[in-house]
Amino acid sequence: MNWLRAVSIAAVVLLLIPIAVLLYYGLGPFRSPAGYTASVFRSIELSIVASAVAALVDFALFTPVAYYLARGNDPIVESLIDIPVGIPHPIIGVALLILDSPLTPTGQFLLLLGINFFNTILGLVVALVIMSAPIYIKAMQPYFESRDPSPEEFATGLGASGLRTLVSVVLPDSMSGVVSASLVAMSRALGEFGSISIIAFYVLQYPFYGVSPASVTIFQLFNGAIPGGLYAAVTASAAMILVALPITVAGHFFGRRSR
Amino acid sequence: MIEVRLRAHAGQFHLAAEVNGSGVTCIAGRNGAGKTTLLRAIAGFLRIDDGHVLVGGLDVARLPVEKRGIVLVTPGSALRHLEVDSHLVWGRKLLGKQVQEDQVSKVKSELGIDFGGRVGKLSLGMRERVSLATALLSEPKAILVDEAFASLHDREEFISAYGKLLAEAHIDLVFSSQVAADGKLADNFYIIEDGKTTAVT
Repeated sequence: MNWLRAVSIAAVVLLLIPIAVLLYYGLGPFRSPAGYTASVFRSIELSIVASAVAALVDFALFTPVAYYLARGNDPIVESLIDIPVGIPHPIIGVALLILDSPLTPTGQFLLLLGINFFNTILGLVVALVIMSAPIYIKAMQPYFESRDPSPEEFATGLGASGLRTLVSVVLPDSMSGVVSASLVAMSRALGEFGSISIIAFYVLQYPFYGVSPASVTIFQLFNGAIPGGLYAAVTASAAMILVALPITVAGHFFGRRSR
Repeated sequence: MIEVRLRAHAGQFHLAAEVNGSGVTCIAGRNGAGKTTLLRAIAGFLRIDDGHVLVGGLDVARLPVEKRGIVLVTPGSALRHLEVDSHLVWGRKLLGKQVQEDQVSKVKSELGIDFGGRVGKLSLGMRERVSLATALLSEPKAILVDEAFASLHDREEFISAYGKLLAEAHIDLVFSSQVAADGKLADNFYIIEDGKTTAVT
């Protein structure tokens, strides 16, 4: 008997019991048509689109950061990244609200440029980027660290700058890692509630006018937005899990695939 | 002409080395003697405590790696996602130098590169040939080779052919070896032991 394995499996089962129970009731005894209405699916759609965009932004902006941390030694930048993760998520929502409030100079400036976070798709994506970027970096950094640095050193000796080495040498050979980290970041973004419930409770823009992100919709149903809301919330949650699960699984699949 | 006189340390290991010469220089020593550390210090991947690294009369010891004109080639150097032919001219194109097809085919035939395809799918020895040829074609001031000759089946012939091509292009070569007999393949020969170099004449 492999006890380490047995203990590990038991611990993971404990972790997953609530989700399994939710799936069972959501799809079974508590199933309510109010949990899979068009507006619920519209919410899930908004969450998926915004999370995918956030993951793309994570890739574009934070891949260099992950590479820099993997190859350099910069404990200050490394600990700065953890700040958004370490504070309660609603605070990020409040922070974005203040940053972009007409009451503050920063907000006046941003609004002058036409940049508005409150109840916009932009605000939703910005919040999701802040919440998922640390996850993206933490997934990408060990991937880069595990690479043999020899080709990068060879390229540097040939005259390539750090950014050039990243773009022309490291990235073409790291697509499975990038896809995996992006999917992990996207599933993190899908799960976000705290910050977006403040900055983008619903968005007021085409093509999602009046649509709330999925986590917010579930919270509203749970809070009794409609009669029998609990059942609707459980059903909508089950639907959300069914959508999010393949993304998480795909992230791990790509992460495990050998280069 | 390469003139190195430096002190450096990596953890508890201390390096005090002096290497001078033009053409082909061999540094031989056992595992742990400091061959790799010395080559990494010359290339700029290890910061030196004091001293100089003169390449063609210019001290590059304070320059970043990419500005030194020194290429370090190891068995793992190959850029695996490239095709052989684009790999060979990668360094040259990076520097904006013109690619001369006749020069490329000459290097390919002299160094036994009669294969193509994706570099990552080649054998170790084939990848080493491609990396060494790429370094040569980019025409740096010096090429440092850390054990990258080790997996070549025609090692001695390769080193002499490589040395000849480098001489034509006025590129200095410093290579490390665990075999003291390799000294006879070089114009200058050093033994390294416990981080200290000794010239062998």
